[in-house]
Amino acid sequence: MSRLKLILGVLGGLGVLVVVGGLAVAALAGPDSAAPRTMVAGAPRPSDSTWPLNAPPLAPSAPAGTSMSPAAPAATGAAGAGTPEAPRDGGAAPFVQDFARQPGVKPLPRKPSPKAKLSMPAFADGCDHAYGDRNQCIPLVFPPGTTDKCAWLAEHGFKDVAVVGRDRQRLDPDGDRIACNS
Amino acid sequence: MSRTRPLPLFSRKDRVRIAQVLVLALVLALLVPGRSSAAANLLSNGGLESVDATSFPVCWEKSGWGDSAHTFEVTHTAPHSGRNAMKITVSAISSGDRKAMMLENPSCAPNVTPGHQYDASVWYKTTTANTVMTVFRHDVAQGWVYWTDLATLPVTSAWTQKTVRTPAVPPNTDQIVWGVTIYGVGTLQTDDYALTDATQAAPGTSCSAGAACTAGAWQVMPFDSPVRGIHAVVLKNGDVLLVAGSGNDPDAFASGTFKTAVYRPSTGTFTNVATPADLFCAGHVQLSDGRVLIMGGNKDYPAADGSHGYKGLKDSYIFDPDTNAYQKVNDMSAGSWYPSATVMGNGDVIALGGLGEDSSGTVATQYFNAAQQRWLGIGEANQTWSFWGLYPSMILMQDGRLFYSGSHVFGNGLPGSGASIYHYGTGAITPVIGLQRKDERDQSMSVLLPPAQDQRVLTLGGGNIDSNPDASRLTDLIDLKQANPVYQPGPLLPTGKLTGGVPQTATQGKMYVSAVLLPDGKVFETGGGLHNRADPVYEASMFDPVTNKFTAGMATDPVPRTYHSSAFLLPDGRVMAVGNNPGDGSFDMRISVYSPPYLFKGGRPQILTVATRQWAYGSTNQITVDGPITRAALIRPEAVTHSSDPNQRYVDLPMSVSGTTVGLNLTSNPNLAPPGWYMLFVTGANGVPSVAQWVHVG
Repeated sequence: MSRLKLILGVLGGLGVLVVVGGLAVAALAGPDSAAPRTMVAGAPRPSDSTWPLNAPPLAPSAPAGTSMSPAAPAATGAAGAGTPEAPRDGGAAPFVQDFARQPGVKPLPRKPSPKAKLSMPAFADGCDHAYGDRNQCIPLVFPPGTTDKCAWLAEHGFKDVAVVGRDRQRLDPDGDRIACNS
Repeated sequence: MSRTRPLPLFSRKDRVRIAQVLVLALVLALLVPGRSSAAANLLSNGGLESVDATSFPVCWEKSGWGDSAHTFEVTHTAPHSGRNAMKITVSAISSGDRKAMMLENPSCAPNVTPGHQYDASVWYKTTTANTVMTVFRHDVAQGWVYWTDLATLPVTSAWTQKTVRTPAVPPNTDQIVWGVTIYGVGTLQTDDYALTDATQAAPGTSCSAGAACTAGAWQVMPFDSPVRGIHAVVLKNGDVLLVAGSGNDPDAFASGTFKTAVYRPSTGTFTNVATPADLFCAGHVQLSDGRVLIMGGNKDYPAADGSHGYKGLKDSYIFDPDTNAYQKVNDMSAGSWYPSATVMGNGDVIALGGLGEDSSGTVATQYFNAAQQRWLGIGEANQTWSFWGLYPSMILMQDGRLFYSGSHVFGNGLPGSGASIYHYGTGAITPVIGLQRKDERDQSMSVLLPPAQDQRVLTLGGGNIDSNPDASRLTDLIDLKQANPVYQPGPLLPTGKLTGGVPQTATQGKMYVSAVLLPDGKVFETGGGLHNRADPVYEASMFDPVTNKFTAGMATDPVPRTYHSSAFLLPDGRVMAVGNNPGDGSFDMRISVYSPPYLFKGGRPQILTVATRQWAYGSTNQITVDGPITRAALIRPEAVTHSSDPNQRYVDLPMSVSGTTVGLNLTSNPNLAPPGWYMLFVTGANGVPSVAQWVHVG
């Protein structure tokens, strides 16, 4: 008998838990319950500056030195101030966030129209084209720790490297116009 | 002694009572929303019925910014249910927006679980489509921060429900709030907000592919490329345009032998294309119609005596995937060898930097007007006369400005901080600080991290051809959502092995690295070398933008991939790699294809139907799928060369889910998804992406 009471007690307890729990969940699950949960109003907040959109839109930060040509339409939103454009075909205008305004960061000084070319190194690719056939790239500067340039070249598959210009790197001490063969 | 008959365990009466309890429990279990209250509305006062002393709904606030004439009203006139609805009227606006927002406090903001997804639902009426559901999250370290925009609400005069599923909640997030923003003239009414947990149980995954389960696997194709794949563009039909021009072969240049081929991954076949000029070292980008704008190229190689350097062409062509042919357009205003090419939100293209026809630095801003299909004259485009270097990485920001990431090719970074924000409209260039060792980011790579809405950029590795140090392991991260974005150091690139299996030292990284956005939202990083055109590094890793961490130990391409190599995503979710041009003058013509781990983890979801291939900004586009999906995204096909593709981007598509019919909500902002053809991927609950479908945006 005692075992029967014990089993019935456990089952009864489980049943009560299921019923009470189910009712509780059902009550809480409904939207806009008639008995709303206790709610605590938040701390007062500025009505016009909810983070992160609390920074005022950036005033034009650069002088209008270059006006937009009619032939050069601005990229969408390129005004950069989050100003929406007119809706297209009845759809929504682009929603642009007010990010990266860079307050306090000054634009770089404007450059005048250039009067001279901007000179660039002839060997802009890091290759010393005074050496090698036309496909090869002998480094202008060898990697750190390179004590023997010829050994480095050999290790990297260069063979019979021609000297086609000035031997700046002194790879052709015997002057036969072939580097690293003496 | 009589034996008594044993009593049954339960009497008949007991059995009846137990059955009654069980039946009641079963009935309740069926009535109560299932899956641990998955449908329970997590919002406090979502119906706006409880009001405070000011008669404004408890747990809600008036929110917004900018210059507008507007009113908030708790209206009792024909709410969707109950007595109250929220009515916001904007009668004039020059900037900013307005919305009713859930209060960002612990009592009102619903608690959420990282990794879970939630269905945000609202009933609404609006006279303007200039609306958007915007979500903020509470980061346990940063506090409340903007998270994402979910969807545009179309104009409707009848109460209409919009339900959109959030992306997976990021780590370190404990609460979210959201509201409906109105940013145009009109009236917006909302009512009966709800938020429910829509997390789908991840099915068990099994993988029997050994190491490929976690590292993926490479396959070297049994055929070579017929051209030097220095420039690679994934086309709107899934083919790959491989452009060599003279291919860094002065002999080919001298003989006028210029090459292009179109590779079809599905058949492994190539189509040779007549190439009208030496397009070696050109810039390229897909136009909105899927044709490819090619700009500049190689007018000459440097002279051995140094009397001149590389010279840039002014020529420009459009490659048409429908005809596999080039068509000439007007010349650029300046020669362009190594120019950048960034497509803007209106479909126009801006090219910056490079070398001119006389080997000098090109300082002109060159602007291709898509509507007019021509390059503007130098006086027609806005000029700053700034030199941006070679292949500068100019990434389109969500407001239409360009972020120069500091990633470039050859030599030092630009003077100053090495990174900046450029406003084409005003010509303003404002520096951005924080980039580490900005003069050693030559042949680094920058990517706009997934999703594009998050506006974060990762810059990886780099070296310097002038000083030729060991390339670095540095990475830098920047969040362009911040009011004053500053680069922050990212995790170090994992180390790999050099030729012969020699492990790299702790300070050795790589330059000419490739970074590829994958459909699961991760970034696959592969290839590269320790020095300019030398010393390939065998290393690959997976960067997770959610955790900002690399997973090292991905399978490495057995083919060295240094200078003049590229890697890019194929529409089937694999990654293709081409090219390698070491200093000895050789060129590796082999093609490798990488299958990421996700391809070994079970069945792929299928996109069964796409209602329309033409997607308008701010629209919801219906697809059907064959099972549960957790994510959908558009990935812009790559157009990459020299570790540079500033247009590569992954655009999240928040989902409105109804069984296997899913509405995909496209941003209203073209700067987040410039017009063009995109690969549409969906990802299943098992983390496996579909094969892409092609859709046209804009």
